[in-house]
Amino acid sequence: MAGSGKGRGRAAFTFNIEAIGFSKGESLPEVVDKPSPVYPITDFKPVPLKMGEAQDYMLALKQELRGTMKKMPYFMPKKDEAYNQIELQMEVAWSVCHSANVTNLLQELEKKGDEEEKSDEEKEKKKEEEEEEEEEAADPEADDEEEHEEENDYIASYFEDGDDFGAGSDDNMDEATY
Amino acid sequence: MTQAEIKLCSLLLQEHFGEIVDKIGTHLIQAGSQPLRMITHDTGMSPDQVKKALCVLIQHNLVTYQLQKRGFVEYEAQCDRVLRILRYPRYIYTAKTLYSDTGELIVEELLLNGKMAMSAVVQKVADRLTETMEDGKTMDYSEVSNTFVRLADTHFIQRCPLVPEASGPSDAPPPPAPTLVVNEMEMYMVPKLNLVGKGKRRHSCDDDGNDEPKTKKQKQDTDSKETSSEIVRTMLRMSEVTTSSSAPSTQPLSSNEIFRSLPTGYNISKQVLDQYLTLLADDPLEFVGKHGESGGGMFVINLYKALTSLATATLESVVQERFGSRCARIFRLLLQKKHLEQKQVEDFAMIPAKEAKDMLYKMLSENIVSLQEIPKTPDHAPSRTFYLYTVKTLAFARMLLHRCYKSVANLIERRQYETKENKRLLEKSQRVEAILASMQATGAEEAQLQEIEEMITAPERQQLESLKRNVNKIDASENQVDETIFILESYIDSTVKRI
Repeated sequence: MAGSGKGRGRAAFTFNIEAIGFSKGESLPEVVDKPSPVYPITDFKPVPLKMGEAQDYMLALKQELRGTMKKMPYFMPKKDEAYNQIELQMEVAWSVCHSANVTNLLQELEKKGDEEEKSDEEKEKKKEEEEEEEEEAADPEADDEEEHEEENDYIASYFEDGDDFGAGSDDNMDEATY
Repeated sequence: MTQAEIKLCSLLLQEHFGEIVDKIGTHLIQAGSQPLRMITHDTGMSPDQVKKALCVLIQHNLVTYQLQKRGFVEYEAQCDRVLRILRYPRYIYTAKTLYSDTGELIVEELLLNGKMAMSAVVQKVADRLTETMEDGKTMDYSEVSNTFVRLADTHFIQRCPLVPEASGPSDAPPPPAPTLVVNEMEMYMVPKLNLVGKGKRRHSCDDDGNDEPKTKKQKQDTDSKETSSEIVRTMLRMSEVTTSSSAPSTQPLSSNEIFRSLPTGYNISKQVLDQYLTLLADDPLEFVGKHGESGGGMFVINLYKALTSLATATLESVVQERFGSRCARIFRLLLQKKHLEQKQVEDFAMIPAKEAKDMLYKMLSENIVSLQEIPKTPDHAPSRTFYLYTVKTLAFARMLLHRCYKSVANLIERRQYETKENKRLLEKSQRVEAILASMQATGAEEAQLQEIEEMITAPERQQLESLKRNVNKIDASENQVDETIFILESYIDSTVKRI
């Protein structure tokens, strides 16, 4: 039938293959079926860098410039990125701790009061609180005290606070805690 | 802006101005012109931070602002200005070679601060120079001022646009953004300051004008003969101020003028100079061209042709180092003959058919050469079509430039990674150095110093040495890639038609 080519399964081109330089019957180069590798193997090594007084001096200038710019007032370093995540974690930690462990809670509030008077930035405050909270939560002693506390007369529900507790108490801690 | 350029800009901003400025600058480069509240909304940062970052960027001439018709202000980032940060060391070094230490420090101060008033620059530079001088000697302000004026005269530094004088009644509310006025005449004028004073040591530190540094195109002369290169250098120096940065050639200079302006050490006779000029004008490289006969012959330097030659030499060098000298031979052949069939390539390059074919296909797959089809019949049958190989210099140059940007970004990332990996060790060594320095200042014994030094073990020392070597190598590579970027960018800019 038409179009069966020279033989079964043999490649047949619409043009004379000799036109592009392949002799008849010669093996064709491999088919490329994926993009070239990100780090291809190079046949030749790179030429060495330019050396000299000028290059050395410019290198020193470059490194000096980088260092100096980091000290200038124009340089604005990064603040904490996952800020919202920290706030969320803190909320969770708060709710876990304060419902069971009231005396610890009061101590923490006092501690928090001190620390907030010391530091200026709100973010730093929150970071410290968060660290404290996580420590408390991880502390096995807290679990013991939890069980211990449940035996006393304190009723946890009396101390339930609103949803805003964690967020609200972070500001205006100049007032004494009772 | 290509992704590679944006990535590189982001890395440069982060290294020199911090993460916040980086975030806002990169956002502006990607988003185009935007007003303040949109920037705040899109980046999710606090308005305070955004304002501060914009101030820093505007101070360093990386962002411009414009008052729109509706009454709000839009900010736009200049991506190519950010990329110029790579070239700052070269600017400072050039100033040093031409205007010695004083010039170097003036340019450095201006680059560090973006814009500064002349009085502030002079004071700061004088203080810095005084620190390095021997005890008892101080640097006079007048000397620094003189260098400053010379820098302005040769257009190294430029005056910033000013706020126009308020001519109307002052009870009208000021516009949200001042429209700055640039007076062409005043761009390089220096205020007549009567700065009397000397630099002070250990010093920590008037509004007459602000200045900003400008690019100086450093022309490299590839001619091997020293005299002819000196002649071309003289011609370039004479045309420094009269040629705009985008001119195709310099203003015509007469042979007599050139003879008068040759450096005093050079004593060649007028006839020898004329001979050299004729030779240069006839040279196939066409760096110098003859423009007329008056004044002993008028000569120009063909800047565009020179840039094309430089860029082409760069491309050839790249092909040679990546693919071998035979591929380079084929490349040069194609550059010379423009279009060739495969058979002709084999014949002219004197390379066996199989290898020539292999090399051509390899270069074709990398887009260094391209195929041009010329059909003999209207049905474009492959067996009856000419396939010609050719080199598209401009396209190849653009591709290479893009690769250069990518390379520099990769280099910076690698350098930051290396530094981060060894952060602990670096901090330790810095602490030890600080301790050593303070102990030496208070006069400690040799044994104590030895003890402190031993805090860093031998393998740690080796690690530090190798880290230092690597970081230096990477930095030097960045500088060198920037040279290639300069040549390729200049060439590509010269081909863009200007209205």
